[in-house]
Order: sequence, then structure tokens, then C-alpha cells
Amino acid sequence: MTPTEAVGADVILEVRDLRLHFPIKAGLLKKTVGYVKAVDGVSFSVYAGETLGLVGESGSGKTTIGRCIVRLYKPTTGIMRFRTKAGLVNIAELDKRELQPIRRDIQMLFQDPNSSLNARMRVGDIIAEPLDIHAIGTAAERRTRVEDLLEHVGLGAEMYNRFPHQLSGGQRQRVGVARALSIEPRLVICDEPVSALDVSVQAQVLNLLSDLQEELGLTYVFIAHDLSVVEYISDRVMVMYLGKLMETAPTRKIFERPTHPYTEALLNSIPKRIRGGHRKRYVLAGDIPSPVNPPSGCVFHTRCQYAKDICKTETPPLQPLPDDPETSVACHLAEEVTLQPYYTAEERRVLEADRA
Amino acid sequence: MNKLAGNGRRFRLFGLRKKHDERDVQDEYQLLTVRQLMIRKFLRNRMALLSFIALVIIYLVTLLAGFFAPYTARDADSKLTYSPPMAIRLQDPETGHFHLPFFYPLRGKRNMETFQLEYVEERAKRIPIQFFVRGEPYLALGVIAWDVHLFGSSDPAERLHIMGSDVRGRDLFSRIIYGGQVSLSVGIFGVLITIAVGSVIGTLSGYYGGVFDNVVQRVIETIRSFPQLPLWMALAAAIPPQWPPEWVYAGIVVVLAFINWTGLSREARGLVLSLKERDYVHAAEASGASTARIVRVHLIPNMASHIIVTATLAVPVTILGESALSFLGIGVRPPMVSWGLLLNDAIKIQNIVLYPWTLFPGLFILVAVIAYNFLGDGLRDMVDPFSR
Amino acid sequence: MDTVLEVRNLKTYFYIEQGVIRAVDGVSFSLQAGKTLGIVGESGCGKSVTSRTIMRLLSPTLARIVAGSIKYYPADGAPVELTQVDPSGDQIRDIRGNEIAMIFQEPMTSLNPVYTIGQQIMEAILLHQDVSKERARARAIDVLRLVGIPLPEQRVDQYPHEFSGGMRQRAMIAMALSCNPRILIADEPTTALDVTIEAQILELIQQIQHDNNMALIMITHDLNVIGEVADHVIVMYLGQVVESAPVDDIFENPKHPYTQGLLNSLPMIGRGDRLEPIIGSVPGPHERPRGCSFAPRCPHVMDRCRAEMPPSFVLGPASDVACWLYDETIEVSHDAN
Repeated sequence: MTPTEAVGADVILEVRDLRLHFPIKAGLLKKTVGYVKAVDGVSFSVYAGETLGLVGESGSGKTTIGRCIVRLYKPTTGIMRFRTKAGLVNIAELDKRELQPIRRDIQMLFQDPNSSLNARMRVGDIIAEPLDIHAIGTAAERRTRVEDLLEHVGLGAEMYNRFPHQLSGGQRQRVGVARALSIEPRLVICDEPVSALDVSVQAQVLNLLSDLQEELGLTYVFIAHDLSVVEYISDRVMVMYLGKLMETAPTRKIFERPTHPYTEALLNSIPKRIRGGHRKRYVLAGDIPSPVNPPSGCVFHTRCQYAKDICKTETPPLQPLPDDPETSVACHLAEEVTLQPYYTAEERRVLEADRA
Repeated sequence: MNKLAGNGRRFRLFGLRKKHDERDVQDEYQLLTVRQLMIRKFLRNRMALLSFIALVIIYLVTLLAGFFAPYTARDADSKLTYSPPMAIRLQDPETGHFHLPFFYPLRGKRNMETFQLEYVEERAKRIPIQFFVRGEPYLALGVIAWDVHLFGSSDPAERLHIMGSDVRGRDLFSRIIYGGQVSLSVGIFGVLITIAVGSVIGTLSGYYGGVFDNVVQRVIETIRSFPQLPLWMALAAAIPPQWPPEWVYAGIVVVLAFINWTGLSREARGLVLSLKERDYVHAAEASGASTARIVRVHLIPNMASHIIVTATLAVPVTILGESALSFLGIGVRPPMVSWGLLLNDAIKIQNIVLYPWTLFPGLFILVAVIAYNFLGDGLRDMVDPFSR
Repeated sequence: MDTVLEVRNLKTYFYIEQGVIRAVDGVSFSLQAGKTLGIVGESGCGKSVTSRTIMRLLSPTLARIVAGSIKYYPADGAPVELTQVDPSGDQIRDIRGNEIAMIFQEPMTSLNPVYTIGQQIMEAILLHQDVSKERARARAIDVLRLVGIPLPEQRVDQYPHEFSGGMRQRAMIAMALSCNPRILIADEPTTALDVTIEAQILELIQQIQHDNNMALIMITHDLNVIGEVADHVIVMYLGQVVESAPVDDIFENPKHPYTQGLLNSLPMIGRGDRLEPIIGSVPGPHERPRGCSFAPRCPHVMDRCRAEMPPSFVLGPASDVACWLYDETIEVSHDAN
């Protein structure tokens, strides 16, 4: 694909061939002895108003992608075109000053509210910080805005003067949400926003996020390792493994018709319960290899039960399925093997009977 | 069981707690603010509290040296050279009668065998000790001219040396109080420079890393690879002898800070390295916060308490440094006095044997240093109120 | 069935600067050989403190067992009352690690980085068994093989940092198993792991349990893990057991409003409905409710719930629930024991 290729009008962010290689330095003179290939050639589009789920195991590079988009990291190579009012801007290349206006449009929601809120600041000041940075409004206007936001995320304006440690985990994450939304971004990168929360509170925050999305027309990139959370909130899902995209498809299709063996393995290692018992999980053998020396060919071949010789030597490109352009997969065998969905036809029947 | 009793006692110290069983479920736990928790932690550490009080008193006394010292630092009486400490008495040893505080003046007599001057009390002359006595004029706090002293001899002709006198008959107690002005302020000023230089360099090298950090770290390692005292001595010896005493004083402060900033800078760097990976710093960066803002809003407030602890523990090191240099004669110079300089009188072993009271300044150094160390420990407990 | 552990009305309180924290406030259960007890609850419910109390691992300056009993039934000999033993004495050391073993959430913090994996496993063996070093090493290699670590003869001499997260957890399990314990307490053993590794570890634990007829206490916040491994489940909230029932009842027919709420807030693939979270959040120790601890968040709350703590109502041979909604049944107090 070339940079000049037309980008659809409904695309808010277009990522092409993104790479981020962290140098490994050693010795007295800090010589670079190798690279951690955290993100290694990833291309995808984010459509306005959707929730794009990004899943993978730890070390898959999903968080790194999120941090590249908000430009906490500068990509090694690649293009990230973001749609601003003035048209598409390649945010991968911008310097600190040029990024400043873009930062109002892209915000990030962090995983652990304990570490994402400065314990020395009051809740109101935390939420107002992005407004402060961008010098939006007078002090009084900012205060009103923050109080509105507090009500909006279900906290109440009286929380303005509290300190984070006086709040529960769920309340803290609501503060994080309010901060991310304070400057009215269009794209929010949610980096595992519920995985540090208790189950009962997790559901509250998920519901809050989907309500806010509907109300404010937000676009989410939702990074998570928990597929059931991703299934709940996402419209489309991207599956990552060792810095590369394995498969991207609408959420329903991922679960009903996985096309990559890794997606299959991931799906079937999630616990599931059907009438009277939990089903045995499929156990994917081995560990994720080191991103310093990723396997040759398809990075998943070392753990893939279907791997053939070609998988060891040739890297499969990510390409749309001939019969389904919504689904793209990076697998030599995509058209040869039939993979197990999350629920078998039999299980689906039982579930539907139970629900009826 | 014992433990519970212990807890009960602790709670009652603050007058807030009933016995555990009598309390209602909701009353048995209080939500404390971080500040309340920190104060409680500090009060819990008795030694730190005691040290804090001791230091406040010592600093107050030295600050108002003119008032608390019966004489000025230079006031000499050639009749009473190396006089031993004079006893403050309440009871007449002969009659057994009690009086207001008084002392017997000392009369020097040359021992014709050893040729030493030996002092004996003149029992016939009972001299009352007077409080708020008028005496030598001085400038209180450096500006207000005054001549009232907390206590002193009621007879200006008969001098009172509660800690003895030195070779020129100057009152050692007064000189210790004046010496404290130098010794204790060297600690404070030295540490202020240490904080300023150390935290700025440490923060920058932690935040930016790269070449700057590399250079700074190598410089710090080089400085620290020398033994501390000889390095101090070498630097202090480089101070030109023709400088006026005030300049020398400033020079000594700088010399002492020259080594101390390295430790603080490492501490600051380590803190920044860990703080800058916190998500709230990332959140600010992702919102476009400037480096200055991140340092000001996110790094400094979270570092301050640790820096204060490190600085508190650096004060005694500085005090000891000044004392060591002055003791060896390469620190502050007369007519200034400092504890180290006073201790210089005890540099010869025969002086210690003959005039053991010349060691009194050492006692003050010891107390100040120990108090600072306990205070630092207490503050360290306080900084992390959520640890137990 | 042979009971190996019986906990009755256990209360462990923490005494800290701010006052008293009732971390465990009346927990009862019994554990049978070969069976798995699941303890589920959110953070702060006291599930981990319960396990640490059983192991007597809590600092006596901070935590105190204020009531209750923990009876351990050895294979031979008289039952041991674990609340009465000296927490640093010989008796608990003979039991801990040897007869009751524990694995923790974060294997890296429970493994000592300066010793090899083999040395750490051998230490556990030599502490409890009278065998030679060579025998202990052979046993260490055996257990590493047992937990599925490839090339155990070489891995035995490696250090913890040379192991991946999943492998470290396997090594922890190997260490726990080295003395053939009768009870294994697993405290969130898979929380720090990826879902694929979680599946491996749970399968391993279950297989070993089956082979050795070991009793297992699985402590977790994850209902799915409970659903997969547990036979019987206790649901904890604010230090108390709110429901105790066989695993299938917990999922198919949960009684306590808290259990129901937990299940409703769990995203389940294919369900599609909007999640129904429990309102509010877990109260802090300063806002502990007077009556039922769940009352402020309960959708079925009644006046009585706010005033009075509900006792445990018996609903079936193995089902108890602490909720006033079930008041028509007979009340039973565990204190009588």
C-alpha cells in the first residue's frame, strides 16, 4: 500500500506499516546490541464512531500501539494519518509543538487508576489538567466544566476537592474517564481500562464508556487482554501476536468464524459455561517467544498446531478474505483449515434454547 | 493479648479511642487524611520528637546567642585562663544553709612544683547568680542593641564560667553558644545549596537521561570515589588565606556542599526515574504538558518529602564536616568561632588531661548530629504513612 | 468423606493507626480430601487474609485472630488447632509447606532471585524430609518434570529470572508440591497470567490434585476460574461468607443478591445484553454498614437489613446463605460448634 492511496471519509485514523523497535543497550558505552520489536509492521484503520478492540497476550505490542497513537512513543517507522478538521495529518512525524493541537483530539485512558492519578492533586485539578495545559476557558469556566464532568461520569460535584486515595478503585477510574474527556477528544485510546477493577465495578465502567460513546460520538481503540470484555464493547477486533496483526474482523465474526489459528487458540482458552458446567478449555502449549528474536516466517508457527513448512520460512501478509472483505487475516492456511469457533453449533443451540 | 493492650494504650494517647469491645462498628475505624496520618506517625517516634524539640531549643539559643550567653565570644579575663567549670551552688557547704543560686569565685595559684596554675574556690565570697543581668552589650538578632543576659554573675568583677574558660580566659559556654551559630548554620546553608544543586541536576539527569545523564553520573562517581575527608581538606586548603573570615565561611559551605549534592542528586534521579514512568505523568504528556509543567506539578510535589528526608540526614554530615575541617585548622578562622574550632583547643593530649572541659564543644556536636539523625529517621517514617 | 480442614467462625482483625479493620469477620467452611473449595470475592473481602490466617503467615504485631477455630486433621494423629500454634514455632513449620502448601499470585515476588529454582525446591524438601541432598535434587527434578517444565535436568540449575511468567508459576507449584502436601492453597494463582497460560496452569493444578487426592482451596476474584475448578464455593463480602453452595448452584441458582450481582456484571461471550453492575462500590472500613454488609448496594434491601446482621440460613444439605430474604427457613449458628 502506498501513502497516496485514498483514505475513506469515515476513517478517523489510518495506520500504515507501523514499527516500533526499542533498542537494547548494554555495556559501559551503551552500545545497541539488539532491538525489541514491540510493534513490527502493523496496518489498520479506525472508523469514526466505532470501538476497535485490540487483543493479545502480554508482550503482543497492543499497549505499545496505543502509546504510539497518543504519541507517548515516536514510531521507528510508519505512517499514522489522523483526520483533523484541516484534513489528514501524519501524526507519526510531528514534533512536540506540532502535536499540541492534535493532542486535544486524542486522549488516553489508563489501566490502573492508582498510578494514573497524581496522589498529591485534588480530583478537580486532575480533571482540569488537560484544560489547563491547553489554556481553555477562564478558571471559573474550567471549574464549571469539571463539575459537569464529575456529574457526567457519576461522581457528583462534591468530589471536586477530594484526593484520589479517598476514592474507591471504581471512582478513581471514573476520574480518569473524566480527565480523558475534559478537552472533548474525538478518539480515546482505552488501555485496559477495566482490568485493574473488581468485577462489579468493571461492569459499571464498561457501561459508562459505552453510554459516553453514544452521547458524545466518541471513537474508541479499546486495548484489553480479556476477550469477553472486548466482545462486550467492540464493533471490530484486531488480534495481535508478537508485534504483528494476526487477524482483524467484526466482533461477531471473530467469535463465530475465527480465521487465524492463533485467534482460535485464544478463543478456546477462554473459560465458558454451558448448561450445568464449565467446558474444558483448549490449552495452547508453550510461551510467547521473545520479541528480540521473533521466529522466522509466521511468528506464531512455533505454537501453531496446523503449521506447515511454508509457515517457518515465509511471513504471511495480512490480507482480506476473498469471500469476506471485512475480515483480514495473516495466515498461509486461512483457506485450508477449518477452525473451531468459540461456541460449537451444538453449544450455541443449547445456549439459545436456555435463553428462550 | 499483650499486643492489644499496647494498641489500646497508643490509641488513648490521642484521647480518641475507647476500649475495642465497647466501640460501635463504625467508630472503630477513622478515615485519616494523609497529613493526619503523617503527624501520627511522627509523634509515634519518640526519639524523633525528642530530637526535634532538642534541635528547636539549640537553634533558638544560638539564634539569640547574645541573650543566652553570659559573655560575648571575645570577652577575655587574663586572670582566669583555663579556669575549670565553676559549680553553681544552692547550699553553703560549711553552714548547710540554702540560698538562691550562687557560686564561689576561683583564685589562681601557681603550683611551684609543677608550675601549673591551680584554681581554688574562695569560700569567703559568695556571689549570687543573677537572672536578666545587665552585662556586655550585644546586637540581638544582629540588629537590636541590648545588654541583658539570661543569667550571669551579679558582680562584674567576678566572672562566672560554667563550662570553664580557654587559654585567654574567655568563657567557654558563651563561645560554644556563639560557635553554634557557625556550626549549625553551616549545616543549614550547606544543605540548602545541596538541595538546590542536587535536586535540579538529579531531576534533569533522571528526566532527560541520555548523554547529559551519562556525564553527570560519571562526574558524581568521580567525586564520590575520593575519600570524603581528604577531598574536603584539599578543597578547603585551596581557600586563599588572605580572604576575610566571612568569605572563608562561605567558602567552607560551598566545599561541604560540593560532595553532598552528589548523594542528593542520585536520590532525586532515582525518584524521577520511577516517577516519570507513572501513568499520571504519561497522561500529562499525552495531553501535551510541557516538561516544566510535568516537573513542577507532577515530579516535585511527589519528590519533596523524600528530598526533605535526605536533606535532613545530610545536615549532620555537613556539621561534622565543618567541625572536622575547623578542628584541623583549615575550616573557619578566628575571630569566628565554631564548635570544631573550639575543639581545636583539645587537639593536644596534654590539654585534654589538664583541661578536660575543652571537650565540651564535642558534646554539642554529638548532640546535634545524633538529634538530626533521629529526626531524619522520624521524617522517613512519616513520608510513607501507609507503611506500618 | 475425610475432612482435612475445618474452619469455624474465624475472625482476623487488623489493628492499625486508623483503628480496627475487620478483614475476616466470621468465616466457616470445611474442606475434604480430593475436593476443591473455591473462595470468591472482590478486593478487600478478606479471602487472602483467610488463607494467610490458616497458614499463620500474618504479622502478629498487626493482625490478630480474635475468634474462631481452624482445625487441621493430619493423616494420623490428633487434630491440630492452628489458631493456637505459635506462628513462628516448630509445629506450624512442620505443617506449613509440608502438609499445607501455598502458591501465590505473583511468582516473581515469592521466588528468591539469588537462588536457583532447584536450590529453592531442595530447601523445601530438606526442611521437611530426612533425605540426602542427592535425593532432594532428584525429587526437585521429578516435580519440575511433573509440572511440565521441559528439560528439568537443565532448568533445575537456572535462576527465576530465566523463567517466563508461566514457567515461574509452574516452578512455584513444583515447590509447593515437593513435599506432597495434603492441602494446597492457591491464592489468585493465574491472575497475573495471560489467558492461554491460565488455562495451562489450571489444567496442571487439577491434574496434580486428582493424582494425589489433594484438597485444594482456590482463592480468586474470577468466577470463571471458580466455575472450572471448584466443587464447593463460598462467596465472601467484607470479611463475611454471604453464600456457601455447590458450584453448580452458584452459577445456575445463586441465592444471595451479591452472588447474583457478581454473575450479572460478568461479561459473557454471546450474551449480548447490557451488563447489570452492582451499584456503588465496596465500602471502606470507615463506612462499614451496621446491619448486613451488602445492604447499601443490594437491590432487594429491606429495613431489617440495615439494622441487623443476617445469620446464616440453611437452604440445603450444603447450601447456606446470609440474607434476610431467606428467613423462613431454620436458623443455624456455627458458633455452637
